[in-house]
Amino acid sequence: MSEQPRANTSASAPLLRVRGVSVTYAAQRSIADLLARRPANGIVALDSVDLDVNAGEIVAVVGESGSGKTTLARVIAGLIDADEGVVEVEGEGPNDWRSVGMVFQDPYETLDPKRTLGEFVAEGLEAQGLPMDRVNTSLEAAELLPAAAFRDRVPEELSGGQRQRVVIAGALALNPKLVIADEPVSMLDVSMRAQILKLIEQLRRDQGIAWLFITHDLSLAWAISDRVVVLYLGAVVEEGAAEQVLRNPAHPYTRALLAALPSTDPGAASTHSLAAGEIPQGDTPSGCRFRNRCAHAVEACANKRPPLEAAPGGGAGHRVACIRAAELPPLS
Amino acid sequence: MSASASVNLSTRIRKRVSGGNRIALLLLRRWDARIAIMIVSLLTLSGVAPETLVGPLQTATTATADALLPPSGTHLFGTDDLGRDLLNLTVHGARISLVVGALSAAITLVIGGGIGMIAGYRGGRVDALLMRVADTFLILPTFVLALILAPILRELIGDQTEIFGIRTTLLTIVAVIGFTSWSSTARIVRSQTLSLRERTFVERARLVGLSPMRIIARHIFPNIRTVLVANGIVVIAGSILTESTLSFIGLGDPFQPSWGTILGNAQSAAAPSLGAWWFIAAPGCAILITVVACTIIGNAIDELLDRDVRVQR
Repeated sequence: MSEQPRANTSASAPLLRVRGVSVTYAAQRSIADLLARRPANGIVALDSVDLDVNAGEIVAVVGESGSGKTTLARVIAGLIDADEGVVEVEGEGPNDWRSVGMVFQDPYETLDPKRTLGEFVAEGLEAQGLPMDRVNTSLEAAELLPAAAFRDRVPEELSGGQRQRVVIAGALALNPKLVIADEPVSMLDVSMRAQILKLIEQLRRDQGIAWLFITHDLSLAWAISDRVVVLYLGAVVEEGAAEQVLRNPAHPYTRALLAALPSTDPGAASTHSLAAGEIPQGDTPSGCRFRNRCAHAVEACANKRPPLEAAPGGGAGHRVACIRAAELPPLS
Repeated sequence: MSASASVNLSTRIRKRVSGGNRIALLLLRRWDARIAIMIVSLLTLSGVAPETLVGPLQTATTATADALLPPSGTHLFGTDDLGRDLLNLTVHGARISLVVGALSAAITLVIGGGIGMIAGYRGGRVDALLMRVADTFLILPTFVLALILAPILRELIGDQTEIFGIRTTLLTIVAVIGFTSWSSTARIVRSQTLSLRERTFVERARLVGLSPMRIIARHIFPNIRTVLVANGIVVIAGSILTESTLSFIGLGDPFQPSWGTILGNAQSAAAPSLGAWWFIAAPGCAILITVVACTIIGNAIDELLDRDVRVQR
C-alpha cells in the first residue's frame, strides 16, 4: 500500500481515489497439491492498481479480456473487497454506494424480467429512503419519454438500448457523483451505441457526473473519454489524456491494441505481429508482465517490475510502465 | 418472425402476458394438459359440492340398496357390502383426497420454498446446516413416519375433535405428509435460487442496498413461483397416494370415507374373492386418474418452464 506522489496532482482531491488495490482470486487446490502441501495458487486479477477519477471526468479503462477491468469495476462498486489497497469516493470507503452508481454490461440480465421498469428504478430509492418522485425525473434524464409510459412496462417490451437507458436511470435515481459503466455498449447494436454514448456525455455535462468507462474497445475510449488508463494483467501499464495515449502511445501493449483496430484504409498493411499470443493464463511473468508477448523485450525487462513514470516526450499526466519507452521506434 | 402459425401464436402470447399467466395459456394449448385440467376441475367440483351431485353421504343406516350389486342403471358404480352406492361414496371421497392433497402441498411449499430460498441465497454455513436438516428428512420414509405418527396423534388429540370443520385425524395425515415431503422441494428451490443469486439483477439489488429478505421477496420468489407451482402439483399427487395408503390400512378417518378407506373396506369384505371388481375399481380408478392427471399437469408446467427459460436466456 505504498503512497506514491502523483505527477498530475490536481488542485483538489480526486472524486475517486484508488491506491495499491490488489485482488487475488483463490484457485481450487487439487488433491495432489494438498498432498504435496503446495500452497494454493491464486490468480492475480489486480496487482497494486492506482487510479484517480476527478469530478465530472470520463476515464476509460481499456485492456483485453482477462486484464482485470471488470474486477476493478467491481472493487470500486464495492461488490468485492480488495485484498490490499484503498478505494475512496470523496474520502469514504467503498460501501458508500450512495455516490457510486453502476451500469452493467448486459442490460438483458440487469433488469429482472418479473419487475416493471418503475420498480427497478424505485428499488434503490426505497432501500436508501430517497423520495419516490425521483423515478420519473431519472427516467426523463435517461431520455425515456414520456416517463409515465415507461414506468409500468416490463423489460421484455424494450430493446437493448432502451433497457440500458433504464439501467442508467436506475443509477441516476440515487444521485451519483460517479457511475461505473462496465462495457455498457458492448451488447448493443451499433446504432444504439452512439445514442448511449451521447447520453453518457450529456449526463456528464448537465449533471456533472463522472464516469469510469470500462471497455475493450479503444475506439470507444477515444470517442468518449478525457483520460485513458491501459490495464494489462491486472496492472496499469499506461495512462494519460486520451488524446496523448491514443495518438502517441508509449507502451508496446497500447501500441499493439491500437494496431489491432480495424483500419478504414483497405490498403493498410496489418500489423498484428506486435503482440504475439494471448494474455497468459498461468503465472504472471517476472519483471515486466508484458515481456513474453513484447516485440521490444530485452533481458533487463525480466529483472524488475517497471514503475509508472512520465512518458518520454509525453504531456502532463502521461505515464508509462516500460523501461524501453524512450527507445521505442516512432509510430508510423 | 416465423412462418408457422402456432409459433406466431405463442410469440403473441409471449409478448402480451408474462410469467405465470403465459405458462397457463401455453398449458391450455397442450391436449394432454387440457384433459388433465378437466379431470382435476371435475374432481374439485366433486370435492366442493358432493351433495348436489350425488346427494348426502350414505351410511350403513341410510343405505337402501342390496349388498354388492354390480354396476347398473340405478347404481352406476355398483354397491358395496353394506348396500351403499359406490358412486356416492367415491364422489364424497374426493373431498378428503383433495383437502389432504392441497393442504399437504401448501405445507410442503411453504416450508420447502422458504428453507430452499434462504439456504440458496445465504449460502455458506446457513446453507450447509439447512441442507443437512433437509437430507435428514429426505431419508425419512414418509409412509413409515406417517404410520407411527398417525395413531399416536390420534390417541393424543382424540378422534372427534374438529378444527375448521376438518377432523384432526385428517390433519395428522396432512401434517405428517407435509413435514416429510418438504425436503425435496427445498432442494429444487435451493438450486434455482443458487443460479438466480448470480444473476446481474440480484447483484444490482445488493449494490443499491436492498436487504436479503427483500431481494428474496422481490427477485428470487417471483422468478421461482412457477417452479413452485409445478412442484406443488406433483406433491399433491404424492400426498393423495400417501393418504390413500394410510386410509387403506385403517389409519384414516372412519367417519369421512376417502378412496383409501373404500379400498380398505373392499379388502375386508373380501371383494376380490367374491368377484366384486367394481368395489375395487371405483375408488382405485379415482386414485389412479387423479394422480396421473396431477402428474401430467406438473410435468407439462415443468416442460414449458424449461422452454421458457431457454427463450429468455
